[in-house]
Amino acid sequence: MLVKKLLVLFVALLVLSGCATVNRQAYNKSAALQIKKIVIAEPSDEETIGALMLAHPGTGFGLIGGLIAAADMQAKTTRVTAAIDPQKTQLRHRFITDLSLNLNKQGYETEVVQLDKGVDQKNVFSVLKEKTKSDAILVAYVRGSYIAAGPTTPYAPYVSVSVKAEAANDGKVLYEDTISWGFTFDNNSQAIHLPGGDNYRYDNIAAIESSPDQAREALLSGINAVTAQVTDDLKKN
Amino acid sequence: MKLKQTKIIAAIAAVALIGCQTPGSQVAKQSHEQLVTATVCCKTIGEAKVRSLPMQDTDLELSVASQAFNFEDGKAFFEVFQLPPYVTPYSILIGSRAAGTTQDRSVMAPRITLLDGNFQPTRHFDERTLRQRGGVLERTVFINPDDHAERYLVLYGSPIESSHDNTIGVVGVTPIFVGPGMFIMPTGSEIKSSLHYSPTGKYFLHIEGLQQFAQK
Repeated sequence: MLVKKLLVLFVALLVLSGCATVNRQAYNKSAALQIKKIVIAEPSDEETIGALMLAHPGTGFGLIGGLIAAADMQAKTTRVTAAIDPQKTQLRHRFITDLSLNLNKQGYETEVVQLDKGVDQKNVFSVLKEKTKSDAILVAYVRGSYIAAGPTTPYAPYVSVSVKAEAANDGKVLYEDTISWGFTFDNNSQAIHLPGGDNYRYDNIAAIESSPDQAREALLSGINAVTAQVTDDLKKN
Repeated sequence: MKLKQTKIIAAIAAVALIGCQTPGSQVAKQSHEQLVTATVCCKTIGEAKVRSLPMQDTDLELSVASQAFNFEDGKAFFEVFQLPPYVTPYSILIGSRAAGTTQDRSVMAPRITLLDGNFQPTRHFDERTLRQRGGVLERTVFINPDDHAERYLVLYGSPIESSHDNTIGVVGVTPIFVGPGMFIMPTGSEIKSSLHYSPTGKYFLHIEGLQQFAQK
């Protein structure tokens, strides 16, 4: 079980740091004039707010230390998730709702479709093609976290959204990218990164727990920034 | 004796990793100074030296030895690329790489103007349309059927002298010596980093949609 947690956290760190390959396709608005209606998928899986430490001291002590680090970060993730409360925060829902409204203003017709729990990411597009009628299908994966570089540095907010839009008729990828906000990794990140969140820093998890409204506000600032970027990327004119 | 050698090697490695990179603020300042005194290549952009758009991924550089021109939005070092005759839609990704130290970097923020066969501007993209991906400022330009008349792409650095500050999380390793042994402890720190816009810098081009021309 711990090994599984370690793997999950390792993958989370890899994805968050942008070291994982980021598939990207810029939106060619002139070539996508026929796109009038976009279906936006909203996953139903439970949200967690990650609490991650890039250079956790445990990782310097081999596999056992790595397992201890994984357990520590898992426990902190549970605490931060409980404090910030995803039911109140609803990062994913806010992103999708705001993006939908923004795309309406751009002249697109949109429909938000709730995905069933546990739908395999690979099948989302085919499932929605069968269920809906549209010109394009957009799927977004939203993650909110608090990240510290190491044990002596504060936790900073971080939001990462991976977006992919496919043409409904032929499955051509119209737009794909990962946009992040907040905690800034060194130059290796492959995500489009938006700076921000400097006013929200927490020395430890207890500090986040004692200011949940503020900690929530930080992540929502990130959602607003990322939504604006994706809207800009998909604008018609 | 062996421990001493290890420590010396570790110290040399640390110095090598830090390197001898020039701080970005210094690069930007010197480039701006050299730009002011640079001789303008020509009266019109049509008289400038032109190179073919590379079909393969290519790393290039705008330097103080590049052509300089008085654009409407300021004097700048620049490069003109001739686009192939339009046959099919394609895209050009322009990415500018930051250089310098982690704390003090410089980057050429590319401005892009597309011109028709008579060197008349058709489209222009300034640095506000750039996106930051790691240490790269990038933008993609699409050449669609409506843009078939475009024959040249002019790339020049933003003449604006500005800098942007950010806090960066950095992960490193610290060798810890315990008796005759050594183990590596990961360390995390936050550092303030400044990014300075420079008229010069390294960049790359990545073309998609013209593979058939690249193979010829």
